[in-house]
Amino acid sequence: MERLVYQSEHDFIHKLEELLKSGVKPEQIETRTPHPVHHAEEILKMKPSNVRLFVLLGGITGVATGYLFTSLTALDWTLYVGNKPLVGIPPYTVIAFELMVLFGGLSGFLGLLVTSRMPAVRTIASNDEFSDQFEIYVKKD
Amino acid sequence: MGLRLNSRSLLIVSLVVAGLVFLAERLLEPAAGGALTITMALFLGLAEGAIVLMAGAEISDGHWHRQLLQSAGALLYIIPAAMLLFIVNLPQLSIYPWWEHQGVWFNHPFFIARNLIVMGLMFVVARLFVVKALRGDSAKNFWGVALIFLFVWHMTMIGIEWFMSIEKPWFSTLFGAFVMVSGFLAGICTCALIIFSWRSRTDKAAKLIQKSVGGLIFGFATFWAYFYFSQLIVIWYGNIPEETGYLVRRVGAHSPYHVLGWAIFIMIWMFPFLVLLSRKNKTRAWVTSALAIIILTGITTMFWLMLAPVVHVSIPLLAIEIGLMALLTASAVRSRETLLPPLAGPVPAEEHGHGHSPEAAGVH
Repeated sequence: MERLVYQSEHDFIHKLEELLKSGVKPEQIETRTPHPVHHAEEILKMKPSNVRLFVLLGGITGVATGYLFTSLTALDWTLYVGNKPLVGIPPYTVIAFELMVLFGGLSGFLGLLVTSRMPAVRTIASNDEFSDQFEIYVKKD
Repeated sequence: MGLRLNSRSLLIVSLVVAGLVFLAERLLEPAAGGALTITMALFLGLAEGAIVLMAGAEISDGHWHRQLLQSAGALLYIIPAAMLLFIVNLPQLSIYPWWEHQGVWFNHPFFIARNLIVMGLMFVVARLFVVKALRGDSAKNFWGVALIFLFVWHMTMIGIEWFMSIEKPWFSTLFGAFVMVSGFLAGICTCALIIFSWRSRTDKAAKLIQKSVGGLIFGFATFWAYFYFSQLIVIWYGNIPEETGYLVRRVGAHSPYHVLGWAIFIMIWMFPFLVLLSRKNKTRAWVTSALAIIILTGITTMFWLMLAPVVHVSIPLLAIEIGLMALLTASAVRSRETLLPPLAGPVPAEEHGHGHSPEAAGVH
């Protein structure tokens, strides 16, 4: 694996573009940067993270739980108040919304751990020192 | 390049529009009705909302909106036309229950005077802000802040006085803010329609405006839904007869307008929300423009629903008035170069803070 180190973002981006033009496939390239460089993601045509699917599923589960939990408990322990319907959608929407946020947030965090294969001590405590440098690793065929 | 109007010829066109509206009112709505009130609220909301969006972007040192500034700024010429329409609408003010039983706040001379004064003030402050912002004058922020405060005041006043007072003594403290948010959302949608003509442009400045407007529609449609739901939930939960009557007549399960209440909610929030979840859709001019038309239709229907259970609103008349005002709005935007000074200073082609392009990423 070839390792290329740059001090500036500009040189790093320039080299990335050069590598792709020379025929290197995006899958062969791995980068390390001190801060997110969105343009590098665009150049490498990286697929969006799967974390969003975790958030979507968590959110849908939260909404379903919010409506079902409130409705089923109200039906199980019938208590009529102020001549309102036993299962009232407007107030349950508030619970459904809150649970959507809670479940979506928690499952998003879980998704982050799963997709980035954390906690992996070896990856966190890497022996490679890159501090504030921009690095490109090119895997050979 | 087509016809370009200066401020004087635009005033003449506004007078002609007011005259045609007067004739249409006489022919189609001989008894007092609410069509013109709806038209005025819609066009004042979209014009003031679009300029206030520009003011917000200027004050927060934004750059994305700069190319849109002159086109959105030209919408301020809708305000004098609305003042003329307000005068045409005077015979229709008998729709309000307080018209016969005047009070301290709701009395004829005070109501007419304060509405005309606030509209006049809005025009002057909006013009000062737009001209100073286009020239890059340092006083633009002061006038921008003044404009935002005035917008909140004016739209709240429209909400309370033009729509809520139709059911006097019913009141809701949230109502004015709800109409204000609707007006602001209408302004963002108008910006989306203006930039539809830029759809063939591939430069970064045009793309950035498109993306920003798509995101703003998504955000403020959700903000609108928050107000809609907040208004509903407190009245539903409280279940006090003095409060529930207003909603029962409009969105209640046994109301003839029940389906319309849901349609408004779907048109303004649910449908745009689902479509704009996709990042790509936010950057497609035809998607945001189509959504803008759906949202503006939803807002018009919402204004109609606020009045319809109490007063007669002629739909053909409403369509004619909206059509005439839409033509005037398009004329003002097309005549932006003769109405307003050119944009001074450079137009940034890239979003600040990310440095995406190789040029932007380098040291400047």
